[in-house]
Amino acid sequence: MRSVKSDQGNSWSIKDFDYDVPEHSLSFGYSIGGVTLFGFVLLAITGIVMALFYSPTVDGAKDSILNFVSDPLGMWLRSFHRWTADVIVFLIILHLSRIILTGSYMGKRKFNWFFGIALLFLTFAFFFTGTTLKWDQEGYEAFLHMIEATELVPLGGLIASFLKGALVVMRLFVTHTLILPLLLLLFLIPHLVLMKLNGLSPNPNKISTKKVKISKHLNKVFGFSFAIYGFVAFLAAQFPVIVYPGPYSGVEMTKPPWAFLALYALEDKFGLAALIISPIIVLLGFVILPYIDSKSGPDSKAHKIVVWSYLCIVGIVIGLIIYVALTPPVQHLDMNMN
Amino acid sequence: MKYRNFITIILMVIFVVFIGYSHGDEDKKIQKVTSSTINSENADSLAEDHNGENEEHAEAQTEEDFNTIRKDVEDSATFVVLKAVSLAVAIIGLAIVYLPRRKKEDENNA
Repeated sequence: MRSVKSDQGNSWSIKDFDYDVPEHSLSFGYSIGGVTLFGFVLLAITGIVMALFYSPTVDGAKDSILNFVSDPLGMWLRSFHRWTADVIVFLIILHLSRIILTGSYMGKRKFNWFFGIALLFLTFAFFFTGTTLKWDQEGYEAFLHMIEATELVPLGGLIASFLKGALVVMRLFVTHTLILPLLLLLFLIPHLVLMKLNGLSPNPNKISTKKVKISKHLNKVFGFSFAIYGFVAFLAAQFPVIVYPGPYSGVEMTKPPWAFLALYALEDKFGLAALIISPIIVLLGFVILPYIDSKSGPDSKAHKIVVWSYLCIVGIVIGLIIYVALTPPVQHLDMNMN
Repeated sequence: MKYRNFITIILMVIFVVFIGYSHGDEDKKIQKVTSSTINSENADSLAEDHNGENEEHAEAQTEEDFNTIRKDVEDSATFVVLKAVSLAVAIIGLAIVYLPRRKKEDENNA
């Protein structure tokens, strides 16, 4: 075993990092966060390769992607990147669900919950900017929704006018590949450090004193990751993702990716302002959650109410996604950039 | 408390959001988005800057693209429904395992 000398002259080895964690860390529910992180690493690697072939201009963006996917390996790589992004959104919602079900936001873990919420919103921002980078009809419509929603916010007009114009794709590209990854690291590092300091949250349904080494937990995370992303690689080969024609202004004919379809349904009902207000309400709900359900513990009536409310909201969101998927696209916007 | 201040600020933002609201121009012109149209103050004049033959070809291309988009959107519906149902099933699975219930001491602890 390799060892290094500390300033005090005491030797310590890699083995010292193999600290004890509760036995339930080996279950899938407590490995989802790690599997999601593994997916982010895969996204970074495939994203770097694709960036080498991408032209971040209004006229060149879509053509550079079409050129890249004309090669079967390029087609598979892009499809793998997109499918992995889908799976990460899926997994992060499962991770959130497990945290809420087990009440892992309570007590000393409250602060880490806030970092987790920031990471959740960043994941959606990644997904959104990734969609716009294609600069096809779907990407353009998504971008215009963002611009028109931003203009509703005070001073949002200034941000929107900065984003519009010939450099729009370059700015979205820098956001997706530089700004968001830096923000991700900014919130991910304290998230992981706090997890180490606070210890893994308990499983309230099974109190166990058994411990295992963290290396065993990491082995499980790698095992789950290889199985899941191996299947994603298969999906990418079997179902390559498409690039829509266009983009055309003055017409709205696509729908956003599945993760945003509930927002789309709310926009249909309440107008463009729903795109701003709904995420704020969700954020507020997450922020106050540890304050309304903290001291009572995971066995309490308050926690059961929180859990059942969450499951009902998830049910409504999934219902809205299915409803929008089965109904024709609706025109919401002015659809002109000028 | 600190979080109350935070909530107050957020609520104020929500109310002020509507101040900037304005309806878009109802007269919509369909045209391909390029670096020229995106930079132009008057995009309509650029869209009309074609001779008859080019315009006919552009219109046919646009119609073909629209048909492709319509078909792709329609085809994607099945996948979206499958994704949503899969997510629901996965969350139900987690709920079965982790839904709060009476504590069970494990064998070693009992």
